[in-house]
Amino acid sequence: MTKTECADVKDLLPQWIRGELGESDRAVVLQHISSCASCPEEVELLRRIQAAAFSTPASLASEIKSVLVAEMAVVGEIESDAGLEYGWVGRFGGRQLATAAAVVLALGAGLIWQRMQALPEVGPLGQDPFAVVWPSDDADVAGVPTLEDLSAEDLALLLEEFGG
Amino acid sequence: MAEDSRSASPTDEELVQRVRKGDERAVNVLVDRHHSVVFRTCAAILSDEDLAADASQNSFLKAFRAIERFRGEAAFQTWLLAIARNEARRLLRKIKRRREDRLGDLDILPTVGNDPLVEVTLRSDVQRVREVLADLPEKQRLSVTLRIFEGLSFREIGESLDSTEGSARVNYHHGIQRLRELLET
Repeated sequence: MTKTECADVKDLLPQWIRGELGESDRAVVLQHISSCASCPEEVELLRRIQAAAFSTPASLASEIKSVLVAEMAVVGEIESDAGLEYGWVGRFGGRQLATAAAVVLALGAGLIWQRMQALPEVGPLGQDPFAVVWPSDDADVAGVPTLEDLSAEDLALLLEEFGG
Repeated sequence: MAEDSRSASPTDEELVQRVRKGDERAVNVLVDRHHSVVFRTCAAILSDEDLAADASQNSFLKAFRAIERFRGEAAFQTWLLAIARNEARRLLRKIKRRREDRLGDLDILPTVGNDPLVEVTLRSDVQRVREVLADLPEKQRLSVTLRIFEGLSFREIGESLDSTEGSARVNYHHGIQRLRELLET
C-alpha cells in the first residue's frame, strides 16, 4: 500500500464514516481498507472521536428562532413607536435604528427652537427673555434712573432733599 | 457536505438579503442550516454542551443584529463561525475568571482524579476522548471537530479559521496524530 494511496483515502474517511461519500469514492475506500494495515485503525479512531461529539440539543434551533423572532418584534415596536413605517424592512438593521434616533433628535431640537422663537425678544429688563417668564425681585426696581441719568437740576434737588 | 441537496434551495446570500427585508422564514432557514455547525464550533472551544448552546444562541443574535455589516466578501457560514468562535472564547474567558475567583477563596483544591480506580470507573471512553480533544491546540481541535462532526471540507475549515485549505489539512492531520498518541497511552 503506497503512502499516497493511504493519504488520499484518509482524507475521505471522515466523509465515509458520516455516510456522505459518493458511490465511486465509497468503492475506493472499501477496497483500500480491506487490504490496508493502517487505515482500519484510523477508521476506528475516527469512530471513537465521532462518538464523543456533543449532540446538538434537539431544541436548540427552535430556541434560537424564538430569540431572533422576539428580537425582530422588539425592533418592530421601537420603529412603530417612533412613527416610522419600515414594515419588515431593516428590522435587524442598525442603520434604520440610527435613522430613527436621528429623526427623534431632530424633532426634539426643532421643538425647543420653536419655543425659543416664541418668547418675546425684549423684556422690561433688557435682552434676557427669561426674565419676563420668571420675574425676580430685580423687576421691582426696573426703570429706576441711576445717578448718572439725572440732570444737574434734579441732582441738586435730590441732594437738598437728603441733606434736609 | 450537503451541497447537492441545497442546489434547489436559496443560497445563504439570498437568504441574508431576505432577512434584511424582515423575512422571518429566511431567518428560520438560516438557523436550520447553520445551528449545528455553530454549536459544534462552540462546543469544541467550551467543551460543555450547555455553555455551547448559550454561545450558539448569542452568536446568532449578534450575527443578525449585525447583518447589515455582512458584505458577502466571505461565505455567510465563514462570517457566522467567526462570530461563534469569538463568542465562545469570550464565554470561556468569563468562566475561567469566575473559576479563578472561586478557587482563590478555597484552601483545599478538589482532588478528583487522584484515585485511579475511581477515575477508571467514572470516565467513559467518550469522556476520555473529549478530554484529550480539549487538550489539543484550538486550530487542531476545530479542524478535527469540524471535519469529523460536521463534514466540512478543508477549504471551508480554512476559511472559517481565517486560514488556508492547506493549513486546515495540516492542523487536522496533526490533531488526529496527537489524539492517536494520547488515546493509546
